[in-house]
Amino acid sequence: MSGFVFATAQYESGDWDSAPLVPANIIDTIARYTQLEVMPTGVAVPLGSAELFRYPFVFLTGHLPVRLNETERANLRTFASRGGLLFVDDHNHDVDGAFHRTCTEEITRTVGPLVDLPNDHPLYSAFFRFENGPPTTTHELNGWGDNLVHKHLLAVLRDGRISVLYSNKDYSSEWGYHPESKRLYSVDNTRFAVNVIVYALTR
Amino acid sequence: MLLLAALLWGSLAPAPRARGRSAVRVGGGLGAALDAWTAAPPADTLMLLADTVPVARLLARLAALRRAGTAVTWADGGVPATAIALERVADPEGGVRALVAAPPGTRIVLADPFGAMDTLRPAAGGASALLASGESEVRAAVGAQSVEAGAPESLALRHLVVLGRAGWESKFTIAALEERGWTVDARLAVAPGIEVVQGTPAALDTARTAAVVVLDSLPAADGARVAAFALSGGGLVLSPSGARTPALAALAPARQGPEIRAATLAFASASPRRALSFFPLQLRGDALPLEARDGRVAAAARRAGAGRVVEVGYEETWRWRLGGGTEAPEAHRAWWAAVVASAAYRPVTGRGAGSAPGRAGDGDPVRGAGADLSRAAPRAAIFGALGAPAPAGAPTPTPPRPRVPSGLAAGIVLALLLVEWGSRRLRGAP
Repeated sequence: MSGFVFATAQYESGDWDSAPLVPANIIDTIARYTQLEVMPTGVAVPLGSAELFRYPFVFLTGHLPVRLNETERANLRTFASRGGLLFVDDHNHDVDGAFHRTCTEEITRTVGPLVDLPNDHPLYSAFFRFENGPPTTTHELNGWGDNLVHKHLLAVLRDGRISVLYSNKDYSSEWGYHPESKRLYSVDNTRFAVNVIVYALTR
Repeated sequence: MLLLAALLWGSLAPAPRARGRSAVRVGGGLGAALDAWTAAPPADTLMLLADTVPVARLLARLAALRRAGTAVTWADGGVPATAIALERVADPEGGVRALVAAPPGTRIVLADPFGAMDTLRPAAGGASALLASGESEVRAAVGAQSVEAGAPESLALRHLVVLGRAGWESKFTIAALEERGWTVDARLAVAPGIEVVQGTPAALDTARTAAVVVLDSLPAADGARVAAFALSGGGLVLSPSGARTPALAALAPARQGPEIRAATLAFASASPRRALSFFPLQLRGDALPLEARDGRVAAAARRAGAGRVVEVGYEETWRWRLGGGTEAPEAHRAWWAAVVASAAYRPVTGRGAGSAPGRAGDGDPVRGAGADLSRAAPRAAIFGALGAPAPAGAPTPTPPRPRVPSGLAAGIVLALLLVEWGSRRLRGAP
């Protein structure tokens, strides 16, 4: 059986490849904590391509405005309706940033309304337990960007399952380092990614 | 005078039991003949010339005559070997499966009380059809012979349990079954000692669980528990990896050949599973194929103890659901539902669940047909009532000709004698 593949979404507008170190770091984390079969390298998959349907988990990030074309919208709609999970992270730190405004608008239009995900949602206990909801990032705490600690993630829910998980906590920056640098951290800050992947694989 | 005395004696004395053999055709006045036989048995051996089976009432009378001492035999004039059984499908969306046995080359017309529903052409042993849940009485006609059966009223569905590792196949299989209406308990391994648990999958008992779906190789202890569950009557569905669990390999319907890659990349609606890789199954002696692809078996089933085991050769059906055409999610759901229904434990409630003789047992269609054997399996019923048919070539008696009652003959003779006597008196003759 082929294992889990970390897929990063390519979209025509914006800078889809703004966090090139994240996939390798998350793959390393998955292999480190679980016995899930995981492919050693990630892939980039165009949202407008039928290839999208080979990867039920897709990560999307960027700084710039997101404008999907009709093919990308149609594929994303089908992808979500069939049980795929799109994990979106806003790579910006600014209030009411362009990425946030345009991406949430596209998601709402294409998949459905984004709502606050309660901090006791099963996502936060899918593997590691996060009692206070989504872990904060250094960019939230050091006063950069919008100077806010976002208390919730957002999500589009379908039949109780997360179809789209949306973060504006900038995990793209938080997790964007070489896996070997994990030894410099007293607590591995990528552990929440295990929860996201395990949730995607089991719910 | 002697003749007259004999006739009078004969008319007053009880009719002696007739000797010899008599015959009647089904549909040729059998009911009237039985009425006559009840009053005055014309022979001590009755032969039924049957090309169809009498209705239950007449067959019961023949059986009663036989038990009362009349030698009732029958000649098989080509009674078709037909039978019907209805079973509720173990599927939350319901449905009734009609299983009809009929000779090859015949034509089966299925009907309910409102009229004809479908026509089937039996293969070697018969044919089956999936009918709507609302069907309760179904009749199948093969030529002049009809068979009828009633479906059990309801089916109490238990939970399903899915065991394996966290992965896309387990996720999308659970999703498909839940969307179909099943309650699914699951235990999916993520890391050593860490599992994602849904519901209460620990209790494997037919009182609670209809079937276990094993998607990956299990630890030895779990494999033994699942095997015990299946042998006690539970359903078991094995993926290729699941069938490699040592404790379950002995129950699997087949051994797996080397993996065959997908024949196409497109999930065409006519044969969407051609776009899936699969392990062809080499059947054990008592296994039955359920699905074939390019001449190879892709799914099979067998009984194991009191349970049923289904093995599928596909490992990644999720690709079909995610990558197929617009109908793919529904087709994926229906396919998994059919696989599970082939194995699931099916306790019945209401009509058909009772302990009355001949009533359906735990999902056993043959016993279900026994609820009214003469309606559901008439050829078997005539064997049961009258035994085996007379050997071919045995002398067949001709049907009895009407006889003049001896009392009437005596009366006529007496009347003629009185006329003769009166005539002589009037004429003064001596």
